[in-house]
Amino acid sequence: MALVEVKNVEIKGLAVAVPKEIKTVKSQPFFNETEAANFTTVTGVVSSHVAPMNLTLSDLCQSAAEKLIQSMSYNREDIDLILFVSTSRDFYICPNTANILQNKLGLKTSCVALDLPMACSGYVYGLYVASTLLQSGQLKRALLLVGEMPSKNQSSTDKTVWPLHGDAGSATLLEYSSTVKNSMKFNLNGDGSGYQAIICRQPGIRNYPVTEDSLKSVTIDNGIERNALQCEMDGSEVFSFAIKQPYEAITSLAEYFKIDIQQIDYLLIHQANKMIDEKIRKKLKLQSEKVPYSMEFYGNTSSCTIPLTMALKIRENLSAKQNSLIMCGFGSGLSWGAAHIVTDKIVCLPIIEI
Amino acid sequence: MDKKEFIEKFADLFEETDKTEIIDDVKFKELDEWSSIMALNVIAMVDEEYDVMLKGDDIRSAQTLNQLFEIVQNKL
Repeated sequence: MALVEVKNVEIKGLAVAVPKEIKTVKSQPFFNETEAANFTTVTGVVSSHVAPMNLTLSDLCQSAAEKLIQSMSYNREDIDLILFVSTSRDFYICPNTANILQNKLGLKTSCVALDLPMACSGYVYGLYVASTLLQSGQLKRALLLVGEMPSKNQSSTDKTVWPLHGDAGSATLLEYSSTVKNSMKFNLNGDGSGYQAIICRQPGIRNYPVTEDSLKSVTIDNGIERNALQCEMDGSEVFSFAIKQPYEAITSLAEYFKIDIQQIDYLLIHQANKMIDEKIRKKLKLQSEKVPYSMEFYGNTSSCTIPLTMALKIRENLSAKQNSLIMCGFGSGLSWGAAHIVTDKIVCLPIIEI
Repeated sequence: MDKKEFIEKFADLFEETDKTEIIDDVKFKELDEWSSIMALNVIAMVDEEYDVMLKGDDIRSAQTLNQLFEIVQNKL
């Protein structure tokens, strides 16, 4: 368990973008009516947003970043770090998507540009990396771009992943200041023994090269067809991990940093599925009002679920007052982390549809 | 841990299946109502009732309810 405190950095603003098009759970051909209803009961997902062929995750993040920079009247010259956190990168294996976005967004060439290819734990890890790079004050402002476009690397004929996930990208602006009152507190963990729980087996160097066979769709089970380039998830393995480790990460974060969980304003938990999230909420004895959900009409948007829930459900409060937040992300790696972040009247834009 | 109680708790997860079908040597994954979602319900029930974490492999390796019971018992 890595328990880390980062001082002198705060979140200043947040924007989220999703594609316009919607896919519904009940219209999926692999579900009959009862199966679709059961799926929605357990996962909490009714529908989600799905990108057209020509739209990428970096496009969504770019739009969110453009709107955010504009609404905050930031000077692009002042951004010293761009961190792109996603597995939906423009190109596997190089170049970094952060480099492409640095140019597209008109940021200076002295801006540090990095990709962090993490999935569902990505927002918490992204905040940790970006704030850590800012905390010495040598870099002053960071643009953290986090999100995922599962529709591009999942099979539409795989019932274990396709109806659950949605596409979304976000932009968060972080700033160094020696007068920030509250530190950011993190508890970060990983366990590579579970690396196969959520995995895209190709492309990559381990199962090189991609061949014609890689593109052949294989029937794994009833309602599960995919090829070797498409992401697979071992649902029960992820479930047993998810009802145990995230809860423990939150409680050990709270214990170490002496945070009274009952006193926080919101718990922002990765929208893995409703059954998992409700179990975590109940174990923590938190009221429903403190644990907002966004999966109903956006699905599990991987690393984007935390910023998306903020923009969808608590935007007014984030803009109007100070908020004490616990965030928790968990998923592929296996990787999981919890953070305690205090925000103070941040800019939070309504969700942008593209 | 009591096997009869375990089987009852397991059976409570099912809505449509006749409870008399759910006995210790039933191949539970062959029941019509069994699904990947039901596997999550079983993992959740075992976590709540016995404080035992079943893994994906445990569900995969157990064929009968007896075998599942033994896996849970060995983890107590």
